[in-house]
Amino acid sequence: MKKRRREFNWQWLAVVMVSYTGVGFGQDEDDLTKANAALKQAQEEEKTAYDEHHSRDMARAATLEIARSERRRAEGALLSLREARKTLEQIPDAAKGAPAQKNLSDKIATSRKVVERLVPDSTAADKAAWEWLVSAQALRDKTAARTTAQRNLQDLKANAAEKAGVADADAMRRAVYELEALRAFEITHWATYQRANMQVLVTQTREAARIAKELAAAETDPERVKMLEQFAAQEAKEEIAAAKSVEEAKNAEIGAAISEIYPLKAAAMGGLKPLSPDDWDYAKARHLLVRAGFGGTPQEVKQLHSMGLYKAVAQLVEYYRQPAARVPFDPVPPLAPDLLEAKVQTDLIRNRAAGARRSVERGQVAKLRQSWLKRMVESPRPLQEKLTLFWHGHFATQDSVVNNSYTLHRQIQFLRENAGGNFGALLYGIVHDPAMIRFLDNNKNLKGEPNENLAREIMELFAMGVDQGYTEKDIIEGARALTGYNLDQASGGFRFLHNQHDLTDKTIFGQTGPWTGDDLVRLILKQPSTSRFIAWKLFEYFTYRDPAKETVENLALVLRTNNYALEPLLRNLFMSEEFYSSRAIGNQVKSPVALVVGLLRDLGANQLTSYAGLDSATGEMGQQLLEPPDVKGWRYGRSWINSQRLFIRYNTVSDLVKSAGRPEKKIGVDVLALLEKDEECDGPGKAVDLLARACLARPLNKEKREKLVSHLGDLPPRSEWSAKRTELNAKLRELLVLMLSMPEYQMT
Amino acid sequence: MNQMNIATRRDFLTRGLGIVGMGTTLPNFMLRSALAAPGGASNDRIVVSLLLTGGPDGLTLAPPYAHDKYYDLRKVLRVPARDVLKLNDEVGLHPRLKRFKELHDDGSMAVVLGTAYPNFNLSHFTGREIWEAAAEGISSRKAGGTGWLGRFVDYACKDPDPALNIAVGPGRLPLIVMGKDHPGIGFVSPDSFRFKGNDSAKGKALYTKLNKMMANSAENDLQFVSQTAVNANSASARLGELASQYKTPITYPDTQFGTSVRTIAGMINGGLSARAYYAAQGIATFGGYDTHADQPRRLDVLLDELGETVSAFYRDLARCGNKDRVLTFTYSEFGRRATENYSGGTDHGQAQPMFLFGPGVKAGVHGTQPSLSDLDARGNLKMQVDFRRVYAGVLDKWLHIPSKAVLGNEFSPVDCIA
Repeated sequence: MKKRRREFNWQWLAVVMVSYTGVGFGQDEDDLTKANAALKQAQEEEKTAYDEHHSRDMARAATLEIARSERRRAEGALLSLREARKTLEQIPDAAKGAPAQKNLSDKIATSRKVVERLVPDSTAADKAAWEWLVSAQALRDKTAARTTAQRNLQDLKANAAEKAGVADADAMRRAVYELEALRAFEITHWATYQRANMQVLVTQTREAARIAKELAAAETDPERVKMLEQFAAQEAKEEIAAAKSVEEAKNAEIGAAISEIYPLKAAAMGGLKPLSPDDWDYAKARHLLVRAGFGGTPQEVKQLHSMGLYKAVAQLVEYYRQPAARVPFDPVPPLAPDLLEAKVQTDLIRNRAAGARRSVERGQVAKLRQSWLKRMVESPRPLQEKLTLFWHGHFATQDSVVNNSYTLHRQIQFLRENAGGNFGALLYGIVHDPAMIRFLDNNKNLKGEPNENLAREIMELFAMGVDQGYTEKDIIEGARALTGYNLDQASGGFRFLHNQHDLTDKTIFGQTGPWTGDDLVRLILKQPSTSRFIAWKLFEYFTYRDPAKETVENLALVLRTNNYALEPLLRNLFMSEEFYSSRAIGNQVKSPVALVVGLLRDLGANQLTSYAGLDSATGEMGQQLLEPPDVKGWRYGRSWINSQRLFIRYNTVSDLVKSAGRPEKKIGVDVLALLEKDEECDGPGKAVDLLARACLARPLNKEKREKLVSHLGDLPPRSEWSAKRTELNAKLRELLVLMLSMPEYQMT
Repeated sequence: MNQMNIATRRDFLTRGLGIVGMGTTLPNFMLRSALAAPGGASNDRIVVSLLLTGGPDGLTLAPPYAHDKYYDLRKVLRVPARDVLKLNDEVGLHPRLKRFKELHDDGSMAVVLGTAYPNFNLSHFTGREIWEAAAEGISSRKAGGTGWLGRFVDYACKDPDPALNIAVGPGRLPLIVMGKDHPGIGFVSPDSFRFKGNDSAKGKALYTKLNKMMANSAENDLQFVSQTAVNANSASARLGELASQYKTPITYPDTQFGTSVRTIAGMINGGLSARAYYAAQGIATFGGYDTHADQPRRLDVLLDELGETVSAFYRDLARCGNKDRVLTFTYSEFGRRATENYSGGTDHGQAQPMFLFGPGVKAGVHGTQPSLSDLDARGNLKMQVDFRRVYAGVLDKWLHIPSKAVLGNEFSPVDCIA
């Protein structure tokens, strides 16, 4: 990226940077005066450049119009000339052809006249375009210089404020970053401006060249033919130059400028310190794909790496630009008991009827879990699924209590649709969510008989954190606000029971009013602990445990300034230094779901015919979907591991490698295919390295690597691979199983 | 102390020292266990829990043969008085439980009648959880995902040995053995509690090397996982060894349940220091004791299997001198309705007998036979003994552990321990 930047005439940036260093020394007052003067001068120079560009812009517009009309006239003349020639050719008698002959001569004369104007006018328009570009770039540079001068002045002010320990020193510092971001932002827009105008030059020169060639073909006078051909060649050259300029502008837009804007913008808005784009490497790209998704093949990681940090993060965070996964699930509302069922005298029959209904439900829930796992493996939007899983653990709801696959499906779908949207929307949604209302007994929260369950968990577990800024009184009052928020059993939808809603005043967080559940959510969102709690939980889920208070505060600020929109927070987090720190990479115990889905994603083995095995395996490992341990959700980290579960993890992974999730076929993962995709992979050492790179978060321990290499033994030359496919794959799968049956593979 | 026991311990000790000699990290519990082995660690008392899956019909297992009302309630499913193996002049045992009678006569079987809990729940799942959690206020949620045997092991053993609470049999790890510090180990056979990804000697050797602790002093999660792996592998090796080496002249029923209990005998006789075991009957059989229909035929099979298994277990333990330190009890999610249904079966009910085995029990009949005429609104027998009182007896009198520490509340112990 750096290289490209240099090619595209970005030296001015270096000049600007150098100018920074001049500021900040000597007497403060003196510096301030100098900076003010520099700003004033920059403003004046910008004005001059603006006037110059303005006049060039008008000249460009005028010449462009003239050249365009000359081209139109030339085309008209050409048409008439061709017609006149055709008419003459159709008259056999030369004597009778005199008027036609005359006509042709006239047309030739006209076209020659047209050419006399077309050539100079086109050349003038080309020239004006280039002059336009020069003036535009001059203005761009002057604008940047002025923004820089502003920035320098602001920097001095911020320095002084920091020195003096003024309360809003932080804000003044952020204003510096904002001006830097503004400069980068303006530059991208200048690039867009340049690209659009140079694209017009491409078109105009191409058209001129084409017309000149056609005129040359219609011309008989060799001198004129030569002149026209020269003109066409000149226009073709111009076209190439213009196209190059367009290309440069494109690079400027997507390359340097964008990757600079983001970190500066982040710094301006608060948030975590962004990673330097120069530190972006393969391991970090893999870390991003693993944490903000479920991992991927080395090819996928390489592709993400080649995008650069900013685009890689955008690719994952702006997942809505990717197509949604196509994993069908047919939600079926639970069957209602037959009216006659209750009247059946025999327990046996009654139980059988109830059992039949239950077994349909059990089947539905199993299908729901399995389709979700499939979605995690296949979705082109991995972050959406990773977030949905996060929210499922956050707004934990247990199938064994709710006993309604339909409402659970709707809840998960709601979480999925809002996964990277807005936390406020999620919180509003969850107090209207039938499964949650049932799970936390809000269907029993009635006027005069409040049930505090939902109100308590909203504050304690869903939004604010234990004892963070609410009192027992707030919970009691909050419960009254939530009275009447009920569900409709038959439809499985939300239902507001007007006559069960307590209309009297409630005092929540010191504010009194006839609050409803919606008001309660609004009041909760105003509490500063809410943004902190959510920022903290998201940070821990994606990055590492127990972050510093300051880290959480920075991230919470992003959430607050964006009114709880999650995308800016996620973007800031996934671009931050902390996200890629050694404390994060390879230091998280994989959840059971991350383990199995990650394996399939890393190996590109996503052709499972059934997800039933995967579903029961995740359950045995302690993470059955739709059945978090309680309303607090999964505890993550070490809680995933005990000696029994470790064997289940090892053996599940080993079974998957050996059967690729298709135990009936016993075909196994095509490990050789992974090796074949890497041209440099030729020996056992490289094979082990490649697989370790594909599957492990950190470099393989040297001693362990050597043991694995010697266990693998020699590989035949590449030319013999396809002939020995079965045998080689068996060997490689054995190696892979051993590599993945290590504590290291439990970490990510 | 018998020959085999010593051999195993010596072997264990040698192996432990061998690993030290090779210069790798020894699992932290192992050093202590190895050193403690010649002493009395394995003399600790053991509790074995047997789940009778599905809710057995107490009135058939222990028929109150002296009550006329019994024959009214059970017109089809009655056990004729002449067939009942009488324990006292009120109740006896189903004839298929003749092995229980033998144990009883030997002073090694007690039955507690009418066990249940207030506000009972007739869901298999919930009922089982309540019996296994045995928490204050019934709700298993308050127990923090632990069962009473797990909490017993947590309380009694500060040793982090992962193999102190063991469940044998298919299915999930049962709540009853799950502790906080001792999450428990579960397997169908010790053979399944192991790494199965590579069975070749070379592959296994490499697996073991790759799962050693690395010289990494940093206190992080990877180290935790590595330590767990070392513990698990060594427990797995011990269990595998005990299973593969275990030979016994005693014949157990060749069923899932029989084999599971035989495995438990193998571990106890092999000198494993585990304190709590679990096995379930009826998981593999469709519905187990959930006999809504066709009850007599199904119970005949199940009770034969149950009696033969428990009898074999104690004869096997006696063979190695371990009989005296093992107490076994049965439990289930609930009992069955007093009145039989129209399908030759019974529906979910409550107040069922619990059986306890071992020389440590006070042989005979405890608790009170629930009245057969004074039923609750749904036709169920009424609770006579809170089941946690039986557990309290086991904890206080057998294990000598304050039951309140495990059950979270004072329960007056049932006097069923000698």
